[in-house]
Amino acid sequence: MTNAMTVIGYCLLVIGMTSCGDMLETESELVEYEKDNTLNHPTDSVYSVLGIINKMQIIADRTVILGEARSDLMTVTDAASSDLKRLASFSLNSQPSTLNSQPSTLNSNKYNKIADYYAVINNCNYFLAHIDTTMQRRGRQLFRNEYAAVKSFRAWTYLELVKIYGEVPLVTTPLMTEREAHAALNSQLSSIKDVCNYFIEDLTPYAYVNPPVYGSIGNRSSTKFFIPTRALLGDLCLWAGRYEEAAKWYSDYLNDKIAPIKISSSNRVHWSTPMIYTSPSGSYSVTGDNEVLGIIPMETDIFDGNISDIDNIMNSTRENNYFYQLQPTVTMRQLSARQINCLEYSNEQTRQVIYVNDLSEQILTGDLRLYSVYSLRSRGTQDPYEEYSSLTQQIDKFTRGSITTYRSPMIYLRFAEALNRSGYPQSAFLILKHGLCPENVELFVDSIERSKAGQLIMFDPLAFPRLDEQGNLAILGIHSRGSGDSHCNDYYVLPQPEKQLATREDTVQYQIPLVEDMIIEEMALEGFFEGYRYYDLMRVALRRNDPDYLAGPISRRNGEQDNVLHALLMDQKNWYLPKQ
Amino acid sequence: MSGTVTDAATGKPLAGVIVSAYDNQRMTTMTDENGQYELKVNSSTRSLLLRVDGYNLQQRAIHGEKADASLYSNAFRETYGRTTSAFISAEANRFDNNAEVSIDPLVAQQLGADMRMVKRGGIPGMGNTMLIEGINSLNANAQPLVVLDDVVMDMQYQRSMLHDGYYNNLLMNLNVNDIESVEVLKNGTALYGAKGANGVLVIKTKRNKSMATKIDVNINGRYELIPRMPEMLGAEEYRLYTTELLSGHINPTAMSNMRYLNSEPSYYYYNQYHNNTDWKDEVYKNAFSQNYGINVQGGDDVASYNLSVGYSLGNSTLKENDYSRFNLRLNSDISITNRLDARFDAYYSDVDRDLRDDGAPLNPLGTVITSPGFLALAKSPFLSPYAFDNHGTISHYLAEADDYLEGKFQGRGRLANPTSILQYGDGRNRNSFGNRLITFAITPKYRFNRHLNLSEHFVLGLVNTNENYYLPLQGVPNFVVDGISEETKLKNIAQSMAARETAIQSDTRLTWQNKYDLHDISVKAGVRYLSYDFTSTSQLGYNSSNDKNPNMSNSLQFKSTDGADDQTREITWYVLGDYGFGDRFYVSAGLSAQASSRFGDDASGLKLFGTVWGLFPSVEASWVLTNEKFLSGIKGIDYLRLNVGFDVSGNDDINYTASRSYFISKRMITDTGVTGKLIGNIGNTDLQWETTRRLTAGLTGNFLNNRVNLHLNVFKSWTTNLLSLRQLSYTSGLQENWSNDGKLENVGFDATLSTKVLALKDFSWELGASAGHYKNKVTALPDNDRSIETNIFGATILTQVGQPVGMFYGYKTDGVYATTTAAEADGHYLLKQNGDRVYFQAGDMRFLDLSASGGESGLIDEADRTIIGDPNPDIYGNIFTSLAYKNLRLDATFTYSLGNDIFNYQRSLLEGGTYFINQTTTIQNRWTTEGQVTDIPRVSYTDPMGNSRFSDRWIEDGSYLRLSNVTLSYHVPIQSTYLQGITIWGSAQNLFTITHYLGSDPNCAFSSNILSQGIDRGLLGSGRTFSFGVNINL
Repeated sequence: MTNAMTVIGYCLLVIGMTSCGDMLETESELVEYEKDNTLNHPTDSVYSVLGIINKMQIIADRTVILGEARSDLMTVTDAASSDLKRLASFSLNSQPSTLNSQPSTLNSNKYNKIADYYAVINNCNYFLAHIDTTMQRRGRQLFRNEYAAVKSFRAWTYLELVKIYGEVPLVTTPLMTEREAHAALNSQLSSIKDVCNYFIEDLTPYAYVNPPVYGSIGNRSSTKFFIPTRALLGDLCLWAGRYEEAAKWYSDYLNDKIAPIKISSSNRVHWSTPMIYTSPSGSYSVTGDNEVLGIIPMETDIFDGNISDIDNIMNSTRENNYFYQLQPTVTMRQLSARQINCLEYSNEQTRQVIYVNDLSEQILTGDLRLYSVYSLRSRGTQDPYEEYSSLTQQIDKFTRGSITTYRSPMIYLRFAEALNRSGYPQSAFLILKHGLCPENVELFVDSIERSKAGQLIMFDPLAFPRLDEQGNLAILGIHSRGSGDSHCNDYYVLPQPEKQLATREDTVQYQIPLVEDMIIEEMALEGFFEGYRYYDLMRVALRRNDPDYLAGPISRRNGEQDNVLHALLMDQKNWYLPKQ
Repeated sequence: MSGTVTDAATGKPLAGVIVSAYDNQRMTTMTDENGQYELKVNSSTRSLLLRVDGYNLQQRAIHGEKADASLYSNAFRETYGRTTSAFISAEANRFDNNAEVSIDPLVAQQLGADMRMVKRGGIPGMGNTMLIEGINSLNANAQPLVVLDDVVMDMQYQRSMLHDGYYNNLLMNLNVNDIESVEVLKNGTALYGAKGANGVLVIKTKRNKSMATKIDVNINGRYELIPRMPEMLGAEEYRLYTTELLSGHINPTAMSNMRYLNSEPSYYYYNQYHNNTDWKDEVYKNAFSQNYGINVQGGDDVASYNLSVGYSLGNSTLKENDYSRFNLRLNSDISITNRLDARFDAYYSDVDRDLRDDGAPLNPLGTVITSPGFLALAKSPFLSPYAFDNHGTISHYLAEADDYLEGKFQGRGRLANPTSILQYGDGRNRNSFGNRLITFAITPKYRFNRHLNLSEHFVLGLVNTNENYYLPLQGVPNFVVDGISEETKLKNIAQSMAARETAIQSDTRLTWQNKYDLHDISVKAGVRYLSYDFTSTSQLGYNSSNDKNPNMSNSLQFKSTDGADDQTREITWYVLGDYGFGDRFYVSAGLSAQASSRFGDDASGLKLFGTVWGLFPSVEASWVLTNEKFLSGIKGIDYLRLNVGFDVSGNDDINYTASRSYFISKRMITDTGVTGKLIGNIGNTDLQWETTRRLTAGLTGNFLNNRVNLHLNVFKSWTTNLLSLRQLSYTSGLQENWSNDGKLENVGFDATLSTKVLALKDFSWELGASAGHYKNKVTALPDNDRSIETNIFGATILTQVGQPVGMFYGYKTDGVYATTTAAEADGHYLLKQNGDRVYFQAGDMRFLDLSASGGESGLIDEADRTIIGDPNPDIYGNIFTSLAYKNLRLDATFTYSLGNDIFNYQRSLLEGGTYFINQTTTIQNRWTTEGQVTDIPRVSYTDPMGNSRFSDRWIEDGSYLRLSNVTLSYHVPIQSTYLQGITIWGSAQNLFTITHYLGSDPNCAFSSNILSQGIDRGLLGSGRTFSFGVNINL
């Protein structure tokens, strides 16, 4: 009897002791638990990289909306969602007046979800921490390209994040439990400069690693799904105030030995015949394959996943009953109209330079890029009972299937900004007026600056010839893309002091801020509505420690200055979204 | 000692009554022909147990050396038990003479205040939601644990079905005739560890009790009338209503050209738009159901068995919602050696149904309305179910979807032809549901000696569910759904689902018991292992080519799949001890330690053997005062017992994967078969069970010669670690996850009083009533007590610290502005998105501007909301009475609920004056002219002023008193070799309901979710039911 008891006792004990933890193990066919997730096979790594892109799709629209709705170039319409309106009026920090003590979802804003950025980051961090970088096949590190690509995804996302939120926790290890995530939340915050400096060091060793080759995915070449690392390094250096390095990375990227990046001289909109100023010539497009260098691929049907809503915000569509939510501001129209359009007209007899001014239509006056991509039309006779907008707006800067991350003219402009701040205003201005090529450098940059800038502006003469085989200009300044033939525009010149200054350096210092203004203006003329503007103003305002550089134009976006908004924006902390 | 036993009805002595010491059956004697007995008992024996066939048993205290007793006929409810325990529980066990297909309504009638039960809908077998001792969870399951023949059941409370409004009630798989008893455990739930916090429902099925073979045959039928329906507008009244909706939204010329508004009888389309159809006739019918059952009991001293077979076939008052059920149960007890015996049980049941969507739609313009029941109310009466040919005469072809509206109204507002959904959706491969439940249980038990035994209870349970769904093309308008581009016109829907759950339970238990003089001790210790594997897959696709192809196929568009693969593993160690001191004091104490795969690794519990254990102690005590010498002789008090208990129990209804980190895959880049793998969740490793601490006290008493019987229980509970969705740290990249945060309290009582009004020789009358009450309060919430608003069918449910769970949170109204002057005097307005003010006008609702002090005066916005209703009743219970005259018996049960509010969602659509759906006749009182005093506002398409918003207009008092059941039965006094007896019975359910509630049925709950209490989404109600049956005992 006692024996029986003992046996039973032991049995029970054994059942209990054989690691209850194991008996409680569960599996799932639907999800993959962390312990089962390995990153040692090409399919794993491909799917994981795509997973990161999937998370980038979620923040893709915000790269445009946050940079544009808050800028001085666009304003909300009545039809805009309240989220968008609150974003545009910088009232995310304050609570709406209708809110009483009851909590509500009113506080949330679809354009302010910081977790979406950390979703990309955490997936990147997991990948970087777990991918087997030591694995080799045929003497080649198997996952090196993906490792580098994910590093640049992470750095790009951090730059976006810190531009939006000002100061953020810099997390570079995967957070796989809520405990870890909570600890990270309370870690020290990093500023824009801190973040940039960290990722400059982090990315530099991988600057020349090519992106992985995934071939065609969904009938699209996957090469542009990745971030051009050197352009990103240029951006990081530019924000960090490391201008010489920024210029070096941009220069290196644009003047790549194998794939130099040239801007097609035919992608412009211009007048071609004197006296006929009703319909400009040329085909100006910012969505062309040769200019777009990086994209976030988006789904085209909502059924497939994350689609872009930009079309419904910027344009009249069936879906929004033609009620667009953002429209160009007075500022934008005036900026465009203020440019002096120059037409170099030559026929067999004559060559003349004509300045096309004060046309009856504001939109045709000055720079033509706005005219080229923007239209506002009436839908004709209206039934007052109809539910559709009577006006339709169309902005041809977006495609349904992707959101652009990098576009060559904008890289050139940031290159110009870096050159200018490095002390090379002539070279910077060259990019605006004539275009950068060895012959133009020779013609328009003085020898002192040439020798100082050295390799930065010494592009490959074979890749960047000034004239094409027919003897036409093969290189144009960015300004010529919409403001006519700026290379012969006598009103579009490098600023010079009225009186000779004491030293050459004084002249350079005099020129730098003025050229910078011109560059920032050109960035608006070239990159308007694409999401750059707010950050361009912010970058210069920070650089010059002049909040009005941002506050001024934005508070005057609708003509009159909005004093309340101006006062709000004079406080730098209001430039950033609250973290939620 | 000695005494006399008499018949309480006649006062005559009773012979042959078995009299024994209550705590020791070995001291037993029998009364003689004079009803007298003498019995030698220990000095410690304080009470006797008396029992004899035909009478209720009785416990009787000894006073001096005497104990006289008078016994009541067993026509009365039992008031004593053979044994006494320290627990508080209530039992329902009268399940004969009814035609119910599921046990739920019977339990609801019999247990009254012991458990709050609310019907899920009128489709037979959908069952009831149940609450024992208040509400002990917010977001996790708050329904009791069901233990069926010692098997811990997963009732699949949270599983969703393809058909809207349908709930898969697993209790429906049980045959009522197989059930012996249903017991509600209100405390002492330590055995069930982290599963017992919501109380436990212990269901026992019949086992053989005698060696003689018994055969019972049951045949019955049930006829249900169409439930109460709202009265809808007639054809011309509705036509007028639509013109009011149209005005202001459409060019008057276009309106005058609309075909359906042309009232010239010679007009080509006149006939098509001038019918007077009562669509309810198309969709509802009186329903007949039938049940057949045979039960065979028998055996010898080696093996005994109870075998039953049943078949039910029935209709619902909603057409095409019919069901059938087959079930087979074998319960056997086998004696293998004199030390080893075994129980072997096997059960199989198969439920098949036709189904259609039911209930009012969430948003009438959101997508196509698919519920024939709602369409029968909403559909325009001037249309016909049948199409008209080109001569203008009606054909036998079914009409297409609504086409009387044009332009912008034609899109999302078109209604389908319900007759078409019923006809073209008919078939096993179209709209059907099947559920099979299979259970095998084997329980060997080895007795080492009289005191010690070891048993193992091993159970394998399978639940298979499959469902097909098809919304036909014919008669259904093109529609759009969320997640598919608006440009895409969808025509029909095919869905299928298959789910399987495998449950394995092993319970190894060592039991020891002994008696030392006055001390009665028993101890059970053991370990239970539970494993549940639930997998389901469902597919959905649109646009099959025609109604001949209702199946899932590759040719469908926008195909998607969904599924679940949920596994749970649990180990529970337990030890339970019972101690009895004489027949006066009883103490039970238990402790269980549960580990579960659903708990996080860092949960706060005992860390042992590589995992975390939740500890759940309970201790109960009771004291039978009447067995004390100082109370034993008092006249009028026959029995008095006090109970007190304290339990710590848990709720482990935790999301299966919330404590784990995992990756998910997402299809991407335009359906090319490419998937991205990404972090789907980061685990909350601190995740754990909800903990409920409960203090219970009870009093049981029988008074005035056992004529009056009283049960009174009070409880107070504190629930902590409420499972709730909490915002995750943004650094995780994820939005939210489950965590333990928040607290609840419950306090309440339940009382049952019954009296034997008349106890005569051939006639007995018993009357009783019960009342239950609970009051709960949220005492803490996540994110610093941040209140939570939950939107369910247009209602906003507020969860706020200091308030009960489930409060309706909306606008208060004060009539309709009769005049422009009145409206202008108030100056109430809404703010449009662009900041413009829109003022309320004459004919609009007057909403109270409650936030005038804080916000802007006159602005009606979210800040003006307040608590406008409470779905929790003040009191609920039943009233029961039984009359027995010789072999004739009449039982009646009333059930009631008082003080609970119901949000009548369906009425908000049918009286909202907002959409092109037919309205109830109440809308005839709508405001139409300046100065008109009414409480129904003007009608306006899509309601820009929000007159029909969630407000106290739609909150109704849900109090009711219902005659739930009346049964008249007659036991035919035949006795022959072949026939032991016949009982013929007839019954009626829901004969009348006294209520102010305007919906079909005030006893309604569409889901088990605690936050959706008191929302009537217009599911089928219960109609009056008449049943007739015969039970034959062979």
